[in-house]
Amino acid sequence: MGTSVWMILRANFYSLVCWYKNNKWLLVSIVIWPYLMSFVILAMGVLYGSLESFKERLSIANPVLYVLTTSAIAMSSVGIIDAVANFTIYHRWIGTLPYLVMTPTKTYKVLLFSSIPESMINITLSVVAIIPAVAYFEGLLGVAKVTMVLLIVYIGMMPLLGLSILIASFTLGIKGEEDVASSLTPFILLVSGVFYPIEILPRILQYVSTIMPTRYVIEVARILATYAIPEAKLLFALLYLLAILTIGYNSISALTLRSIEKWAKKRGGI
Amino acid sequence: MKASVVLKIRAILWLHALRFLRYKLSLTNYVITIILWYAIFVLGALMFIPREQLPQIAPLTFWGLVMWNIISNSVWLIGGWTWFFVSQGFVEEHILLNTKPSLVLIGRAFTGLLVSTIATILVMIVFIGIVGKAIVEIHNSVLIVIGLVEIVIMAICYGLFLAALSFIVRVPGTLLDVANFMVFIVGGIGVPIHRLPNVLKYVAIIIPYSHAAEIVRWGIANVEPYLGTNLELLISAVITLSMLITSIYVFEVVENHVKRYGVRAIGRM
Repeated sequence: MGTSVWMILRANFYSLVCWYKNNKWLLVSIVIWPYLMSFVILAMGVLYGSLESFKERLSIANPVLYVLTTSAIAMSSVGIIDAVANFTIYHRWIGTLPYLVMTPTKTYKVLLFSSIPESMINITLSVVAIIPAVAYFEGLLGVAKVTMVLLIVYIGMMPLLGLSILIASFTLGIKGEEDVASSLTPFILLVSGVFYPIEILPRILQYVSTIMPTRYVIEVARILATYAIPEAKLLFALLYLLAILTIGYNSISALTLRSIEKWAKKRGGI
Repeated sequence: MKASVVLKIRAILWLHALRFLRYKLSLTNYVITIILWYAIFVLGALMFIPREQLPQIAPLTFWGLVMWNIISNSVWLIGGWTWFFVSQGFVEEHILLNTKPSLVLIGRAFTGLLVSTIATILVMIVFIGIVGKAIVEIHNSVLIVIGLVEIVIMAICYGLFLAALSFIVRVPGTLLDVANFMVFIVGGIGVPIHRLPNVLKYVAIIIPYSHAAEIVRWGIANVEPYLGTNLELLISAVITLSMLITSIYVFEVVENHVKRYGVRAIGRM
């Protein structure tokens, strides 16, 4: 009999709470990171150049709101990918991966639902953390916009989880404890155009960016930083794209994980 | 039989070279990760710079990130590796075999420098494509070498200092990451001191790296160091020497403490 989804979620949530209880600074760092990232970009930018130039290049009205929200999106994306992709590496390091793979519950289910509590906490903390700064610079309208970003990041988490499982499948296929997935996080952020327009990237990277969920989440942040009240069709077009990516990535990752797992079990690589 | 110092150094370099080859996929991945983060930050920062000023500012931004990379690598590759070294019980083992743990940890700089060099060269190639040759056009290569060597020594000393501390106290790794990030701006590494706001200028002068960073910038774009050319050269040399002596002394003290009371670092850093 397989373990229910609820039990996996509950167990992982409990494990996470215990982990944070013993590593309080880790929790604090999730809150600090979006500010640090924004600080470095804004400070470097302002000390070398000007906010006006940034506004002009990105065609946005509010650079501070934009940098804060994209930093929060970037850090929550890092959190989601790390939660899933590093799951296999972490369990391989501590020697529990074979037990997890051998349980009657499907590995896909274990991977997907084990990472949801951590992903949710990462997203919520990263985005909620910037609310005080946004409220200071933008007032209530800014807070409303950040709430909207939070919802979109939750939606963007669905395809990103599928993509992360795809990355985790490849790490499962590698014999040994080498970390080959961590460079994919900055790559996804790079092609998503975190702090710059995608048009400045080489053409091939621009094509790659069209299948990256984070690109569309960042696009939402850009729209919100440009218009006081954005047009509904702009946001809904992006939501539909995220829905398509969710179906695509999760179907591909389920199939890929199944075949790699079968191959790794036969080869004795787990 | 007592092993000679040369033999010990050879063994330590062999250990790190072996690890480098054994974990080649991890290291390749690490190099790529550095390059990509570089790209994200540099591209972000360049968006603030008016197009006509790009050739003057881009090299300063790029070299600022190179220096930051050397410093942060020493924290992650020396300070961070200490966790593994301690948790595997290697501190006691090396002491029993009459080899200083500090010597083993310094060897980690070999990996760090190799990673930084490969990443810098690759990023340079990418950025020549984006910004043009302005990034490699330098004013005085000797000054750049002096500044970079001082930064490397300071970074190794800082890494060793952290490693020594982590033998006796539990330092959360996340705090080190935060400190690293802050040092980039307020430490005068990413931005020349004269461009910082007045209050931050005081902070930057106190942070040891800023003086060597000013020398590197002097060599790159002929930006006169904040405290003047001769004084900055003198101060950076004195600070480098002091950090070297202090880190060796601190490690000696900590090693004696460990021999008496044992290693105290527990859990994940």
